[in-house]
Amino acid sequence: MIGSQCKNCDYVAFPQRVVCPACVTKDSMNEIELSPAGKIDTFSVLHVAAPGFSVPYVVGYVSLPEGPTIFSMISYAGESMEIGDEVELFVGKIREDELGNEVIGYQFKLRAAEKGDEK
Amino acid sequence: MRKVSVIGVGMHPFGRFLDKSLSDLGRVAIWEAIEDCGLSLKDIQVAYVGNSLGGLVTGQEGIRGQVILRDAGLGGIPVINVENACASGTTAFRGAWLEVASGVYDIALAVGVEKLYLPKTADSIKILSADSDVRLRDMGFQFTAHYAMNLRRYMKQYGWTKVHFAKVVEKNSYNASLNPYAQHRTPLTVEQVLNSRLIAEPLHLYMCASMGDGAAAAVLCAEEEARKFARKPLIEVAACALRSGMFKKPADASRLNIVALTSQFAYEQAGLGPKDVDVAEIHDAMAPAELYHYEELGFCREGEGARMIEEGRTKITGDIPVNPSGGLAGKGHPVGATGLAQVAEIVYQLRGEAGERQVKNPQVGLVQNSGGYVENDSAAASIVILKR
Repeated sequence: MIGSQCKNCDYVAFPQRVVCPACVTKDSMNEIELSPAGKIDTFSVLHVAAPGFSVPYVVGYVSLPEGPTIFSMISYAGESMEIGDEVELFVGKIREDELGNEVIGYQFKLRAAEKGDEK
Repeated sequence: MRKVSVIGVGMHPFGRFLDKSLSDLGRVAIWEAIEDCGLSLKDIQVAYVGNSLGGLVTGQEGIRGQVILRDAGLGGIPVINVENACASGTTAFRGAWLEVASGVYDIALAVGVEKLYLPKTADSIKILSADSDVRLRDMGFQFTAHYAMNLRRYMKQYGWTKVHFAKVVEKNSYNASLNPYAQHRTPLTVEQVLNSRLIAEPLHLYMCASMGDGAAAAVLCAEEEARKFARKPLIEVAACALRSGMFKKPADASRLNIVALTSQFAYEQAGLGPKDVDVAEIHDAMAPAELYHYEELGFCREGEGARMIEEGRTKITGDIPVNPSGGLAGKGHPVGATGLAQVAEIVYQLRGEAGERQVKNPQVGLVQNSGGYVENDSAAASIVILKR
């Protein structure tokens, strides 16, 4: 993932910004590659949804080591998760559009999920 | 700036009215507010009409205020259409207040009106979610999730539980049962709340405001003019503050700073503090949000919100009654109407007109109304402080 970092105050933003949200300097943001892993800051399992989303699904905020806390879907198949759990980036289906096409995008999944039935 | 009084308020009851138009809802609230202050429609000099989602719901864009006012019998005056998500109502109120405070006009009308019910709930959810940055909506954001994610942080940090959350619903559903304007008038027990289905964990159905249709209105007047004809106690606008979010990562991610900052500004404007507030209407689109708003408004210290509900301090009979109307989850939450309905409730309370849900002799009332979501923060927050 590509974010932006202010060359004036070092604030890191995702998605990219043109104006720094912290020091409000014009044209101060440079591209920066963000880590593809972070920790769950908070989340919710949703059981009701707008058309195109399949329930249940999880949305949350993920804190990245570079600073940003970003909104994202978190892959969910009924496993338990907690604030602070480690997650990693992947690209996958988020929803279907009005024509039934898959809309894909970035999201996160639990790192432990690959180990199977540990819990 | 001149002193401004709220001299009339009115409501269309909140509920599900598939057979009524925005005009049908608005007209009832407007006429009730006009009759409440003993004026006639031709006395209104300027009108602000708050509505958030009528464009998506009905297809009417741009001039909803003029259409609604025309159908109420009002034209030939400046009409300002106001959109500010769930804070549209208080944003309209602020416009009306500024017109009168600045001395441009003496008598101004603020209206909030909304229809959210559609035959399919999923369509209503999609429309509601358009009050967030649509980039997030398209990634699965919903307002239920916003509140749920905030509350989960408090559960982790301060040990708040779903029982605390259900106790807020128990209080507010009881209050709503006493409110003839409320959408949901059945008192709920903690057990019923916790047994209702999950919507957005940790939120259960009865913790969440449902869809709602309704309207509310207020008439504002220069205090010096109002004294000449008012039949009811004048309610002074002691503060009217509006603020947008900062939309950057806050220094402490667990805090929703926008409400705290807006209330600090409002308290300064009014020359009052949290201890002076005798009754409050708080934006609890998901009822448990009351708990962290207590803290942001200065009613208690950080992390102590849950103790407030445990000790019953925010009941109608408590020392700082909150949401005597039933709050958003109890009274209903037709987005653009909500802020003005909160104002109406505080006016009823300060005048001693709130019937069975009357708080004992309040002198100062506070409205907190929030709206929309950009990222990391609400899009808008309003605080109105009213004084008898």
